[in-house]
Amino acid sequence: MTQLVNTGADVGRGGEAHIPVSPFSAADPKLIRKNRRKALVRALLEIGPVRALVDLGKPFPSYRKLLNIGAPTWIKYRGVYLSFEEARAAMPRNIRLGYDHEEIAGIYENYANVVLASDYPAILCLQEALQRGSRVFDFGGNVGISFYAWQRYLNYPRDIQWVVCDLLSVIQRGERLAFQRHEKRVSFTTQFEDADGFDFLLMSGCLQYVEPRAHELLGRLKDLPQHIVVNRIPLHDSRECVTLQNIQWMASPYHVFHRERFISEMQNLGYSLVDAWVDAQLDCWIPFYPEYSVSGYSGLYFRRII
Amino acid sequence: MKTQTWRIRRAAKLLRLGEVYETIGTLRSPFRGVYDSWEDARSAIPEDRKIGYDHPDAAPMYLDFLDKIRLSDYAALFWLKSAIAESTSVFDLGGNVGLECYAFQKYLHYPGNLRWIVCDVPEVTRLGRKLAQERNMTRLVFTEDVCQADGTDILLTAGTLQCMETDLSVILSQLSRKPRHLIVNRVPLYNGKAFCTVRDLPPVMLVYRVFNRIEFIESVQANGYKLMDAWDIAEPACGTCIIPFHPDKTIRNYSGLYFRAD
Repeated sequence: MTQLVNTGADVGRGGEAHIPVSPFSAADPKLIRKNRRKALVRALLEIGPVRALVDLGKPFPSYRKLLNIGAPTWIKYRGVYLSFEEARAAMPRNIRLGYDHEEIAGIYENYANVVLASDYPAILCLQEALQRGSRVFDFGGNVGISFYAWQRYLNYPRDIQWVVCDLLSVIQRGERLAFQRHEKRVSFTTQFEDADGFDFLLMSGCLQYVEPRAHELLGRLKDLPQHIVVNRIPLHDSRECVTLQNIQWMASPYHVFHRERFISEMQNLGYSLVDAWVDAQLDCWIPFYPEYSVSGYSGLYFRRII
Repeated sequence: MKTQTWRIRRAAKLLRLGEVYETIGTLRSPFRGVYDSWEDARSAIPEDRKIGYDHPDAAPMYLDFLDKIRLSDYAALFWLKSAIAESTSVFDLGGNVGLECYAFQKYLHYPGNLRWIVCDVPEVTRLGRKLAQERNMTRLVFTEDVCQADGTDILLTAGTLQCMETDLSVILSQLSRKPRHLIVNRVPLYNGKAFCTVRDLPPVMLVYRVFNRIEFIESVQANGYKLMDAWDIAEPACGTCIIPFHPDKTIRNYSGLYFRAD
């Protein structure tokens, strides 16, 4: 009667739901071991005297370099830098940069059936916005994972135009998937400028990987979107920096934004903050730099008032 | 240098330092003990401690959440939004002073004739009535009787079933006109055997239940409901149950469920 797999059933349209298995499912034994290890190392590094010792040398660049190199490979975020350029220069030579590689492009495909807790606020915003317009620009939308996962919740209007903007190797995969699924409502681009004139801009878990900041990207558009949902980004209460994200296949510079500054930059473009939420399950812990670490990623909903 | 590091890591692995640290950490958890039944758990609570929410000093415990929304509320809001448009009554089981009714009004358009019935223990409803009067929230009604759910359109319950001795399926089976929509949020479901534990929530202590996921869902389905959606709760503060020395009974993510009767 009850299945334990999520097969993207027609939830909300008469079909019985399957129980979702989150990709961040805390029941994964590998993840449990990793989190355990992380918690222990974190606790050790945050003992007062240890922290004071680590902080002593921080004014010296060569010492900071040593801290960044010294961290073991399983650590996801390492180092604190001023800019993307500085972070790129500090990267080990033999590792690939960024997400634009064929074998990386597919890693998120399984997410096309999964809806996370932090997706619901975004779905609510989109549901409201879809009543007035039906052009959605999904920046960093991978192969269209949100489009597929959310169609269980939203009765997309027949004329919906969902454009996914991502890297070339990713969108090639997305186009293939859309073809396999006979999906004509979703299309792909690599140019952010194509967002010109869209009603709804979705930026989920991607702004931190992009060098230009949100307001700089938006500055390139002539006609700004009415609604913007920024989801799952690391917002820090008092600082900002660039760190290096290190996952198995590659490394990428990674923004940690200052909350107030991020919001005020959007407000300067004529947006008002309508809603904000925090996903406490996601965190960005930078070893040796607890002062820059972020616990809980944020989501923001902006609406244009001018 | 490399061999040295390897040796340290190997030693750490053998000593299971991570596990030891985690076990020590679990002692800070407010949960204690695993019991087969409600009575066993209740009798394990020291006699000088107050049990349950029905005490004057326990009633205002959640006032901090007044007008605030949590991440896990959004899933409930999503389903409530379409359900409420065609409804005239919401039965909010364990709704405290009407927290959801106040917090959700920013997101939902309540129909003019909507009644929001909160069911809770007498001390809490007393406070709730006072607050509703102060805030002039006339649609908010309070009761201590779960049978008042009869004939309502929506049954909403968040973080409550685990503190109740009566099963949800038993409550549902007693209703002659069952609510069409059933939103169950923030309940501890897991794949193992159902059990009871004790939660220390100063100033009171609670008997706390953990359900088997499939048993729970099937017991509701037996009342004529269909499971329409399920979500994980991503908030450690109100969505994890860690019991010291029972690592197999750890629930890292509570669940939210939406059922509909057709």
